[in-house]
Amino acid sequence: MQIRKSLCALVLLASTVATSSSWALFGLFDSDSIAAGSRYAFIPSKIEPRIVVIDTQNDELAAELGLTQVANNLIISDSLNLLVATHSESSLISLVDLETQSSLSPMDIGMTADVGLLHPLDQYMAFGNNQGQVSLWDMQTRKKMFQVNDLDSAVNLTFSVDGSRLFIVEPRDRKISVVALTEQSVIAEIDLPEPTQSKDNQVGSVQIKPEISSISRSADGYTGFLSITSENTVVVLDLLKLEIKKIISVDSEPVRPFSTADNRYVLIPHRAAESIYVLDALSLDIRRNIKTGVPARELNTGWLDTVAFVMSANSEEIAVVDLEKLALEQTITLTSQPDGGLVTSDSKRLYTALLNTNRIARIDVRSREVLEINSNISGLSNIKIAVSNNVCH
Amino acid sequence: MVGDTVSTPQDINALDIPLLSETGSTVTINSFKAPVRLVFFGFTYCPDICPLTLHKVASALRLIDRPAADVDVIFISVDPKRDTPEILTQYTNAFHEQITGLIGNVDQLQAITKYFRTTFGYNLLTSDGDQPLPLNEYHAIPANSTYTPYHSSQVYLLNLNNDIVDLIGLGSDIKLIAQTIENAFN
Repeated sequence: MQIRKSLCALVLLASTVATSSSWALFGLFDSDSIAAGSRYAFIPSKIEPRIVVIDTQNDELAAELGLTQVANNLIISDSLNLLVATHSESSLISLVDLETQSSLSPMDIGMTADVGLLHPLDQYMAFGNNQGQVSLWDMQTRKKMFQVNDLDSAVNLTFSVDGSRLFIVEPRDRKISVVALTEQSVIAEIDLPEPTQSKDNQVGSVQIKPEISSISRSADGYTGFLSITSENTVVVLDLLKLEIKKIISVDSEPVRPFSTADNRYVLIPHRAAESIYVLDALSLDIRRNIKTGVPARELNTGWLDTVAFVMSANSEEIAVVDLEKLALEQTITLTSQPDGGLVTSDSKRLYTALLNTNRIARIDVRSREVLEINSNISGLSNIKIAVSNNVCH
Repeated sequence: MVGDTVSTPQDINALDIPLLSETGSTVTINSFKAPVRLVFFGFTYCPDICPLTLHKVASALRLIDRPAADVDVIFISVDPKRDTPEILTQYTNAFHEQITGLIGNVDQLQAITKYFRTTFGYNLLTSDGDQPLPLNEYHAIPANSTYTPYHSSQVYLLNLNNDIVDLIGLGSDIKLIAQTIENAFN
């Protein structure tokens, strides 16, 4: 593919790799390999420098990993058998060899990282921060490929389906910057629509930053969707022509859209309206408004996109929506508020950390059976699995 | 409740769509009569996921040690332009004798992939990077042009009622695949 060739041609810049014996990692269970990253769920703690590892084949604790700093984000590469943890207010990132569960020398990426994102080729990683810096690294060679500065913000990142471009949503500037990996720079900007009423985004004379979601891609990767939550708008993007395709007025406070893998629907969950708009993926017409009674934080689908789970933004509930009947099926009440969810690549299990507890909930997507798994680590959030991609390119 | 299986009666004829077998005969998915049928979409030029998946499935078949009549593995090529019966035979035989390659045209593939709630398509490699190739233009491009198909990486398990009873996802190991196949008999 083009990207493979192009990336090989990139000039790799030298990076500083720090070495510190104090960055130890402690495998508290045993030293069995957890290298099949797509089999394991990794959940960091927000208050302890530790990570819980759950085996998604049997829902048992596979390992507890220790770091020397609290992780704010995890990135897992299946092909490199590598877990990367980023840390707030530190330019060092932690590396863990999943084959041996041992720590590797940390890397200094020269900037703090509020987010990290795995490239579709599973070898490169992008790191971004609130200061408007984003850098791309080859994690096989541990070399920085390039860095872009002076963005409004760089925490809202999405790669194109072939990995040749990185889309960065900049809320304050109301635009999307498109970075081409071959050019190593911003090659285009897509201006987002102005708010329909000027009061939408200002208090007195003060401009307020709109709340904008990350971009979700359609299954074929050619179309992108994002929600301007604070303005009740969904923007549909042509990710090839790098232009806006359509602007859709939706209900109150839409969160990140979700495109089903069969290209049937685009699902728009709403936080304030406690509903889902179901859009026909081809016509982009609204086919159904499903009241869920749950203020949406995010939405995941499972079992061949026949069911959707809406995670609540402020309660202990998950709304289960039947995507065959396009109707609310039931509401699952957990023992604590769910964090973001993650569905295994076989689409049969949904995992979510129970916010600020030591527990993870596993929901069997087909039977809806809920299992709560206890760990010895508190403050869990931000679950990750290596590969959830179910399309071979 | 959606239930444990997925069936789409309105598309049931998708499993009766005639396809070209690697042996040169015309068959349908329903021509395969094993109690458990595994269906996988791919293409023989695929560099990574297709051969890896077929290798794992083949290894799982050896692990479960059931009679050949119990499990049919159907490999449906989404690249009919390049995948001839001869190429498919050579390819599937390299993995396991219970794997049969089938070829369909784009219209047939669209109907069948809809049944399995998935998509497929093609990207054309240009000087500007990958560009989507509309499905209705696939037939017009030369076989030696630089295009790449994309498709689902999952293996679908069908029972004799044509229900999708289980999925094998990317990253499943051989033992899990064997267990998943065994479970489909229950």
